[in-house]
Amino acid sequence: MYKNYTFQILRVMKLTTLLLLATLLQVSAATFAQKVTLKEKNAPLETVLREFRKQTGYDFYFDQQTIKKAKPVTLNLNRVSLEEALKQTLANQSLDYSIQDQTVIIRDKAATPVIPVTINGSVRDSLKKPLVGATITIKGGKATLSDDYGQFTLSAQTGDVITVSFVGYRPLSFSVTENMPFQAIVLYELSSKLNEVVINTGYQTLKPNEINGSVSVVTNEMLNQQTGTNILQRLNGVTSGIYFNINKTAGQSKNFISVRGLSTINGNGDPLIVVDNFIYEGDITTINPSEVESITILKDAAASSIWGARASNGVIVITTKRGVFNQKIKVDVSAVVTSTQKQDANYLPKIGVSDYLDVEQFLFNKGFFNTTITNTSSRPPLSPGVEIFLKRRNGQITAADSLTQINALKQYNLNDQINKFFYQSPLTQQYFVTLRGGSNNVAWNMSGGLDRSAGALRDKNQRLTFKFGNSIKVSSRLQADVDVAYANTRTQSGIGTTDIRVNNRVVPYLQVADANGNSVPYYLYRNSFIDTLGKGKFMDWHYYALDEYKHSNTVATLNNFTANVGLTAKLLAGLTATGRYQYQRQWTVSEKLSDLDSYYARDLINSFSALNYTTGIINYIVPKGAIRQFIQLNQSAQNGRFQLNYNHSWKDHQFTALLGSEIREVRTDGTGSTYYGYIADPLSYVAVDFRNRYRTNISGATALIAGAPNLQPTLVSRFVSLYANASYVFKERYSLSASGRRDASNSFGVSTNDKWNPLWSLGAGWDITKEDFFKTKVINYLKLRTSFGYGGNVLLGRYALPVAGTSTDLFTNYPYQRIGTLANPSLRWERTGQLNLGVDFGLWQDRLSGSIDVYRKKSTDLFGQAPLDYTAWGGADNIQKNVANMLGHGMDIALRSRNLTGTVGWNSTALVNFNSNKVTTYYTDASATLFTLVSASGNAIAPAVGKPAFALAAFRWGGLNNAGDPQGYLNGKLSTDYNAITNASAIKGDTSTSITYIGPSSPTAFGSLINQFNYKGFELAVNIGYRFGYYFRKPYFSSNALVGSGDGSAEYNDRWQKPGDEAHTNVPAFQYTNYPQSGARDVFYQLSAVNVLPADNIRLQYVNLAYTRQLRKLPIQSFTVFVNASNLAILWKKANTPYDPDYPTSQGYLHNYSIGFRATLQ
Amino acid sequence: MKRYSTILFIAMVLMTMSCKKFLDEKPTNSLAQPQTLSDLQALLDDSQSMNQLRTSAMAEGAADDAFLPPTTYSTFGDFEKSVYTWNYIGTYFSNDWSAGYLPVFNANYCLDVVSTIPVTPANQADVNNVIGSAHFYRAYNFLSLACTFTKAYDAATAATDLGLPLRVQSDFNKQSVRSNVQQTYDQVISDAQAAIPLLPALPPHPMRPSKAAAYGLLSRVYLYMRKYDEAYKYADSALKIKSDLMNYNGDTEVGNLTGTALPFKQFNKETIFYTEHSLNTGLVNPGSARIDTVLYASYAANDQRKKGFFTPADGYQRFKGSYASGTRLFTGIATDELYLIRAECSARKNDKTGALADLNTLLAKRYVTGTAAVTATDANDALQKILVERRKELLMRGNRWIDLKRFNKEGANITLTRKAEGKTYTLSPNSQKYALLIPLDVINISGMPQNPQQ
Repeated sequence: MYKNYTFQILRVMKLTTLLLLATLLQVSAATFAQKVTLKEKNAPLETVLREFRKQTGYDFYFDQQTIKKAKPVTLNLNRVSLEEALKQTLANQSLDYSIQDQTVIIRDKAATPVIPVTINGSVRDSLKKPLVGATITIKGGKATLSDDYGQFTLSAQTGDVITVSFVGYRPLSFSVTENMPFQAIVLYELSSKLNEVVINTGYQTLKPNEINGSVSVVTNEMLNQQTGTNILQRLNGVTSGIYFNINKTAGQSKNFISVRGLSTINGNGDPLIVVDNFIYEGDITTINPSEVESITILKDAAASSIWGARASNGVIVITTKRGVFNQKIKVDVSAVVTSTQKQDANYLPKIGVSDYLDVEQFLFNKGFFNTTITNTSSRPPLSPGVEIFLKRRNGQITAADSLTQINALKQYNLNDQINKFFYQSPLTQQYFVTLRGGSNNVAWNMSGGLDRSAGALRDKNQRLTFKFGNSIKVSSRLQADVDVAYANTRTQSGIGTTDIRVNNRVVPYLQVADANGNSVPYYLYRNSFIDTLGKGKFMDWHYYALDEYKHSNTVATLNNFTANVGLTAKLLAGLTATGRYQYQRQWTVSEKLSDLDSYYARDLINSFSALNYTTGIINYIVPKGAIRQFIQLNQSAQNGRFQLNYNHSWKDHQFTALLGSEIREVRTDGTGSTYYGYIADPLSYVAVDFRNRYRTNISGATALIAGAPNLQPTLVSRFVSLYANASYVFKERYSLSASGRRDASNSFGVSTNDKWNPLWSLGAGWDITKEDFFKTKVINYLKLRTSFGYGGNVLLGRYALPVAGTSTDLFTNYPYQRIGTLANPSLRWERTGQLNLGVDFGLWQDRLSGSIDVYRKKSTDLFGQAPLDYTAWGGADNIQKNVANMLGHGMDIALRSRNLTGTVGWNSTALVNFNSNKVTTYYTDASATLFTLVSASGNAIAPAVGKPAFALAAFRWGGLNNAGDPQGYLNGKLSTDYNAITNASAIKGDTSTSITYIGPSSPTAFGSLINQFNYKGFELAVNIGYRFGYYFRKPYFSSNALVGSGDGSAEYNDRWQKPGDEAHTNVPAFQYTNYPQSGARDVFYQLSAVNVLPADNIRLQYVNLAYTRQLRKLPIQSFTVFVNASNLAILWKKANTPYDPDYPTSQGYLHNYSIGFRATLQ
Repeated sequence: MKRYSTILFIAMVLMTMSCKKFLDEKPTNSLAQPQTLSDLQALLDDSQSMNQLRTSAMAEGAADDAFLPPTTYSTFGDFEKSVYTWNYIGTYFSNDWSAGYLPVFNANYCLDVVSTIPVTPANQADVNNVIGSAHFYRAYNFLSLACTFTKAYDAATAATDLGLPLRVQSDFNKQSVRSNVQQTYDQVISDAQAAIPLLPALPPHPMRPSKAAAYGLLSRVYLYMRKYDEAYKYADSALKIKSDLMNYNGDTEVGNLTGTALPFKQFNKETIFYTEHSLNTGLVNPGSARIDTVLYASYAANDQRKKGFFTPADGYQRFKGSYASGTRLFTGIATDELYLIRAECSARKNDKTGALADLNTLLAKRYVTGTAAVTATDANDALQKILVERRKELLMRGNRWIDLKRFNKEGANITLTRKAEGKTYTLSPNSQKYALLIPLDVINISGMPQNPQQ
């Protein structure tokens, strides 16, 4: 397990040193860990005690005269408790000690006579402002408050310990001696973030040394090094063992981040996301990153198996900011503006316009467009070029006119127009304010955030978040927590660019706007037909690509409401009980409003308009008016949890346990409806007939009017869980931990629920540095950990019951039921067993620290489609079973070094991850062969036994022959019989000589190097990320795509054109076969080894420069201004290719530039 | 404090105890677990699973009523070509095997579940209908599958010839094992017999089984087994319940015979039980298949079927005489088939008069009124004429393949010949290829023996 907090500790240390002057007594304070490591020979006692103070953070009070008389001390302490350290230190002295709160008092064993003393003093803050109402208490006795000037008077006796405290400030104590002068006391503010890293598993909070599992904690500071609006994206590149799958899809995954690689094939590969103790079922984008205090990633079984049947993919626990007791009101504000690089429609080079027109003419001459021209059922449009060729063929224009008109088309470039008129630079603004405060009994926080962004295509996004939290100490034994959060996101669609095609063909010389920027109309049906149909009675039937979004627009609004109530009661010594309940409701409304000027409405109305050609009167079957389409999806989740916690320490033993039960339900449903002739105000709409078919004007066929109201089925998932967790530590060195959890669900089979089969984990740890025999100055911390255990993965939406859909038979009108899925009563969750070996270390007083974890994961019972002998049921040839297994292993290394600690600070963090997996069992014949990986894109899981889940194989490449045809191998010989090659490969599989395995398509080694430099208030962070050991398929030229959809890769320019070209190109000749165009040759070339390249690359992920100033003035306590740039550049890539290996077919990485500030006010 | 912890502990125990009920909630309300009697009836009333596109089209495609013109043939896939030319290469899901075994599963499921429902006087009739229907569907589909995937019934070898895997329980974990042909036909007979006392004489809709349908099914089975006395008996029993025939000379249920539109009403009065050919192969699709030219030429000019059944298409004739709708092909049980079975069995029993009476009753409704009076020199002559009419009446209804098998067993010695892409293919009488290949994936998974093809 690694600690992400080292940097913070150093910063806060300065805050807390304090000396009380003008007295015999010396008071000092520091905050740090409580363990003491010290080796001294004949050192003065004072030096020793100062060292103890530094290491433990405890305050020490002593009479300097007494201390000076003490004997020199010889010690060898290695991470012992403070008490133990004091015992050894004072063993041969005439001194005694006592510990009160966080204060150590050293005094002479000889009784000191008690003398009454009157103490006068004042209490001020660090800005010398008097603190009114500070409490001055004699330990175990009376108390007084400071007056309006911050002054006080108190009677005490020598030897008494007096504590001065004020809400939100660090209390201060001193001992009373004779002749006390005026006490000028300065209290320092409590740092809201105490530098102790807290691991929150969602069920309990632990300190790093209390866990044997593998955990990463990402602090607020690290999260702030990136600026995106998605909280999960901020984990990218700053923590180990977690990988963001680029361009990949898998099963039911949504976010598709993987923790320690894949653990599933067809299930959900996303880690479980927990927000403030409970599973978060909603949309992760509703969480404002500014609300987040820290994120804990539970990686191995010991850490995550407490989440049982959902833990297999790892768990990401998000903890939001909360108020702290005894803290003055504090306001944090932040604002960030991010500008994103403008997208480039020419990013992926395509065939030139002139070449395109040549191909179009070639196809026209071959008669390719004849069926389109004569199509009278859907009346497809022709491209401007084809219209010209047709006019020429029909003798309507001369050859010269035709040439002139075609040449005129060559000056246009659609992508240039898209760049000019459509794309703009996205701009994102993020604003956030949070208020926090707390008294002795109440801690509260309130926050609000507003994020807005204008997207590349004039789409708009807005997110509004509010959060309120309150913790109340009802009595000394009972605490109540109430949290309420609300988020609203609103997404408005922008311009669509995919519509700008002609009859589904890319036409690169189309125009969307004229020289004046006015929208150019174009046709989605054949112009000659539309122009005469309806004799001018129909509405304009043109499409205006540039304007459509102004008239037809989809606004999706997502609301998320979460309320959380918790009660914690202290029952007996060490025993507490917690009850929690959370209600979450999310509703998404998507509304598409298309006004009468929108093509969408005009097209639909025109299509159904029944025109009486004699009278010229139109009967509007679809009313002439706006159309409002409405979809609402609802989700609600309820959780109840009851938990008992027990802590007990005695002598060398420390025991912690929790036992709990949890019940949970998630329910979703939805509705959809369409209103025609819609007017918003005054609200009106026209009922239409959804039941009968009406004649449409384009094809003459009849059709139903779309948009009949529909109800989505209600889906209900229910879980009941019991869990327990215990750990035992002996002598602070040896620790053992165990956890177990049992889940039952309404989607598991009955037999699974009845089996009571728990998921469990065991862990052990050994802190070697605590051992007496461990004596080295180099290593200051060394802990070995190991764990083994199981996590599960639930595939929601799979049922163990034989379930039938119901409806009414069209012929008989009898109600019928149809079994859609065969009953599989033994369906159960997927299981992943994980063995983890880890070491945490610190060298040269943590100058170099880090952790190394090695793990092996075995996932069994994975959901998969097992072949079904459909003699048993003719409905499908497969059945969902727990059939597949996979094996994964890897290593997570995190290293942190403090290279420079002076005025110029320099820290480095290196994250190194290795992960590989392979499918070991999968019960279909096809998947058992390598051929599965030939036809795989590399971006979706293709299970082939013995190979990684994401992997690529390819046809062996034999170059082009002298006719420009690609050659493969058939039975070891060069061949162009592509069907035979495919058949040989598909049947022979692994033994085939026609195909070759290439490698994984997901990185097997990845990580990042983060360097942080600081000088005075400046801090510069640079993150360089790398991904190694994988392959990708590059885009390729396909004659089939060029002929069929007009989509021509720029590789066209390199195509084979004449014999001899095969010597210097691998791109096959353009080919046109009589319709249907034969795709076998293209497919062979596409899937051949020549198009698979190594994807290894190194990127500059982000650079963050921040300047922070502590003002300690009203109202601004501190502020930070920063600039940030991300997705900057590929620094290196292995393959010599113009394509981005991670985004070969799209412009995946766009540069982001942000500027922002954060400030703390009071 | 102790009191608190006791309360909390009890709360925790209660919470977990109540979980059983909590987990009984269905994962979605769009799905039902078929458990009640009405659920089971609803499963059997799913005509898309039980009646439509069910019976094997492969066998019809392999038979000789229709052919593919060369230009059409070249557009077909390897599997279809292999069936057409009797060089079977086999197929994978979905196919005629799965189409036939789906209703078998539903029938088995109903029989498994209905046994758990207590019978009361109030539900007796509904229980009977479910059990009777289930037995009927199982028998009907086993017979259809047997026609395609097993050899013709031959009492001498039936005990050793490979039969169907007879799945009679819904548990999919049970291994499929091939029975022999005798067991297969016995199963069909016993299931059909079991259905008879439980079903109504006539159904409320021809998509539902009935006594008449069960009798009709039995007459088919026995005909295919060449047990003509029993076939006669059951055809007769069925016709006693329903004997309506449409008159092709102007019946309310017969539309315009000329033109491309289908002349016959779906669910017409001849239909006793309704099923259709599957669409798992395009070989029989009227859009591509053309009627054998010799067969077409055999229809006399005064035969109304010549107009009603066919329409010209690219120089040949396409079939439009189905009792289904659109391009689908009816394969169910209808009275015309029963008349022909009874006539054939009479002739085989040497009852020339009875045979001709049935034949002429049918043909009077098929030929131009007053022009159909078939005479015969003897019973055998009558038989030959009946068989000719049988082929002309029942084409594209799934009968030809099993008839070819049966006739060859009777010594007809029919050799089929086809030309495709310059090659000539023949299918010799009683060839092993009359039992088509069971889908390859089924064989792979189940380990059942494949039909030999030598």
